This record gives sequence, C-alpha cells and structure tokens, in this order.
Amino acid sequence: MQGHWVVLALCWLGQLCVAQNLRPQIANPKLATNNPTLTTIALEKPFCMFDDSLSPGSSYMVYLYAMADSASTVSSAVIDNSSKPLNTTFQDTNGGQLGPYRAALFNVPNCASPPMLADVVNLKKVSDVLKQYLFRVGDDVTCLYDPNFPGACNPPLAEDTTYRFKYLLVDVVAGVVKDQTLWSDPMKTSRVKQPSTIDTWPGRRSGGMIVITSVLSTLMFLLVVGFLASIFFFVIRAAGEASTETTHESLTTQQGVPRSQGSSEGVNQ
Amino acid sequence: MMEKGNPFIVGLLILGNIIILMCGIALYAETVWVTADQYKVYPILGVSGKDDVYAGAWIAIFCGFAFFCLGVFGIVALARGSRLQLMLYLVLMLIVYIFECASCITSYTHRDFVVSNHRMVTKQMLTFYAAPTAQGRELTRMWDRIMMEQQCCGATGPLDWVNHTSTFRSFYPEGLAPWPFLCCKRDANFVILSPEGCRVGHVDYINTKGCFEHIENAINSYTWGISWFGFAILMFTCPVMLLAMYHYTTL
Repeated sequence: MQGHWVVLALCWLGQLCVAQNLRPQIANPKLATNNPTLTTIALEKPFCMFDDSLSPGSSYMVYLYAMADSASTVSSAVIDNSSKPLNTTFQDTNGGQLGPYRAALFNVPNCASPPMLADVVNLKKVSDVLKQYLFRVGDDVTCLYDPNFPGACNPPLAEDTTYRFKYLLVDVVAGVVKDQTLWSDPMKTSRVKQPSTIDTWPGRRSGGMIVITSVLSTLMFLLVVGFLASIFFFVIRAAGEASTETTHESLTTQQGVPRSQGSSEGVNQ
Repeated sequence: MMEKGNPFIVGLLILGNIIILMCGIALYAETVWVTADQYKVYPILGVSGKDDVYAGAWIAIFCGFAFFCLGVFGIVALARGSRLQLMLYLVLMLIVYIFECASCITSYTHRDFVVSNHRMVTKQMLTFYAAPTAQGRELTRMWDRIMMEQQCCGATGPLDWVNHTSTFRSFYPEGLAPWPFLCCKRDANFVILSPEGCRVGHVDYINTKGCFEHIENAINSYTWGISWFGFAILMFTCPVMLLAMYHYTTL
C-alpha cells in the first residue's frame, strides 16, 4: 500500500508512472494482415497498461495522441503545466507534423476480460473482438470536412510517413492526466506504387514459342522451295517435251520442204 | 497427260489427305471452342488492345475448314490424276499452310506477352477495375465474376490492391474498402462473413489466393489448342505436301 502511494506521488511529481516503460504496440500482424496501410495504422488498445493507476470510484478515458516522426516537430509534450491533456487537433499540428495531436478517446479497455484473439475465427464474436482489440488511426475520412463533427477527429494519415503514438490515462472528472505510456516505436505508413510504373515486358520468351516459331518457319521455307523446285522441274520437262516436238516438226518440215520443192519443180518441169 | 503416276504414292497421298481433312475439321471445332471463350477471359485481351490469341483462333477456324475442303479436293485430284487440279491443290494448300503457321506463331507469341508473368494482368486490373468507362465496366464485370467464382482476390492476392494505387482506390478509401468486397469470404448465400474481419485482412475472412493462376490456365489452354494442335497438323501436312510435289513432277 505504501509503495502504491509512492508510485502515485512520483507520478504527480515527475510523471514517472507505472505505464511509463510501456509503449503502444502495433496490432498483431496475424489479425490485421493489411497493416500499416497507406493511410492508416492499426494499434493494439492499451490492455492492462494503466491497471495500477486506476482507483475505484473515478471514471477514466484513454486519450490517443499521434505525431509524425519528423524533424519539424516542435515539441512532443502532450500535457500542459497543470497536467491537463493538450487539446490539439489534426489541423492545428498540420497532421502531426508540428507536434502531437489527439486522434481519439475511448474507454479504458477491460483488463479483467480482454478479448481472446482465438475468438476471431468465431463468426459471432469477430466483430466485437476486433472492436475491442484494435484501434485504427486514420480511419475517419469524413470528419475533417464535417463542421458539426464532435470530439477528436481521426483523419487519414499521410503516406510513406513515420508516426509515433502515445496513450494517456485521463481522469474525466478532474480532467487531469493520471498516467501515460512512452511514445511508441516509429511506425511507417506504406508507400504505394503507381500502376503505370509496372513494367509489363515479358522478358524471356517461352521455349514453346521458340520451338513453334523456328520449326514452322523452317517447314514453310522447305515447302516454298519444294514448290518452286517442282514447278521448275515441270517447266524443264515441259520445255524438253516441247523441244523434242519442235525438232520432230522441223524434221518433218525439212523433209517436207524439198519434197514440195521437188514437186513444185516437177510442176514447173 | 492423264497417267496416274505411281499407285503406291497415290495411295499414300490419299491416306495423308484423309488424315489432313479429319485434322482440319477437328482444328475447326477446337478453335470454335476457343473463340466461344468458355473461361470468359476475353476482356483481358480486348481491353489491352491486342487480342492475338483470339485472332489466331479465328485464322485457325478458317484454316481448319480450308484443310478439310482441300483434303477432299486433293483426294479427287489424286484419284483423277489431273495435273492442273494437283497444281491448284498445291497452291491453295501452300496458302492455307502459311496462314496456319501465322495463326500458331501469333497466338503463342501473344500468350507470352499476356501470361508469362502476372505484371501485365495486374497493371491492367489496377488501371481499369472500377473505371467508369466502357472498357472499365467490361473488365470490372469480368474480374467480379472471376473473383466470385474462383474465390480469389486481385491478380496475385489482396495485397495487389494495397501496394499500388488504382482506379478502385480513387473511388473507395482504404479505411472503407482496402480491396473490393468480392475479396471477402462469403457464406453459401454470398453474404460477407465478417465485414470487419475482411477489412483488417484476417486470413479467415479474406480470399488470399490470387486470380492470375486461373487466367493463366485459361489462356494457356486456349494457346495449347490453337498453337500446339495447329503445329502438329502442320508437322504432318509438310511431308504430305512434299510428297504431293514430287508426285506432281512425275505426272
């Protein structure tokens, strides 16, 4: 009991809290295969992280802060001097580029009965399990443009950017921070490729194509040569037959001419 | 002039022509099957602007029928021993032969361009799926049907939709639909098992298999029909024609 008070006192003094050596974790990759995406990062909700800071009788909320892990970040402080959580929004911080913004607030996850990840295969429970277990940063595409939007807006993150996250335990009544985690490890949203950059060149030709093309070309060549050759032989033979016929004819004419000459001579005589 | 040449060669040629005419009608039937497009993958080729696999099939329809007719004509010419008819047979056969060669080579070459790797199909899917153009609608219908029937997603898997920007992405934000809803596993009534599970990509609620395998199989079987069967026929026709040419010179 004494130790508990010591911790609480330290908490008040130097923000040295129980959850301080814990960090927000990225969601189990078996559960969310598509994570981080282009504009969202799914986180595990802070199960049992703030257990020791919860005192019965008060009501608590968990605040989630996000900031881009970039050089332009001015400060990573999320608590003001009176230990109240900052009310910065996505727009104020230029999407987390200038400092942390509050992305969401939700109830403290129930440590006593955390969702069983094995229940995800159960059709009736999957929706609840995912709702209880996951929080998706960057999920709300409309809140930025909705003038009536209440509460913390959680608009899509920038692509190919590294982010860090932090959970805060806030006492709702007093409005003060009771506990906080460390900033998470950097998590990077994915970078997408334009489909126009995909090179569709087939590369090496398949063996079948080479065989078909080369064999068929050769056969085609063979057939054309054979066809021309057969015509050639045919013409030669026809010419040979024609020339033997003409020699016969010339022979007969030669034989015939003297005879006619003779006959004409005979007539003349 | 009407002498019939060596009866043994004539018999061999008639037998060859009977086989050619039967192969011709089979080729005809098979390429009709290809153009009927049983797997319904024509849009992939149609949208790409080149449909040489099908062009090859159309040529092969013509060639198959021509082989059939010329086989009959060749038998008549050989039986009559007419030199003129045999000449006509050889010329027409040579023309059909060249066309059939073109059909085989074209469709196989184009097959290499389409399915030798998945990139062309992937790129086309990302560019045209969900696009509000006539081509886009045609391709979207085809992909929807394939994804539903084959229970597959994307060309190589759901991550195709995540790792690349796409026309689909410009209409549907990632939070709402990281991939088309047809990628989600469905029950017997085609109701999505769990929209949340599908959205986060849990393997029990999403089809992780890619559709490229199905498309590849379809186009491969078409090309098999056109190219390899055509190739076999041409391999057989070549010696028959050479023999017919020899026979012609002896008439």
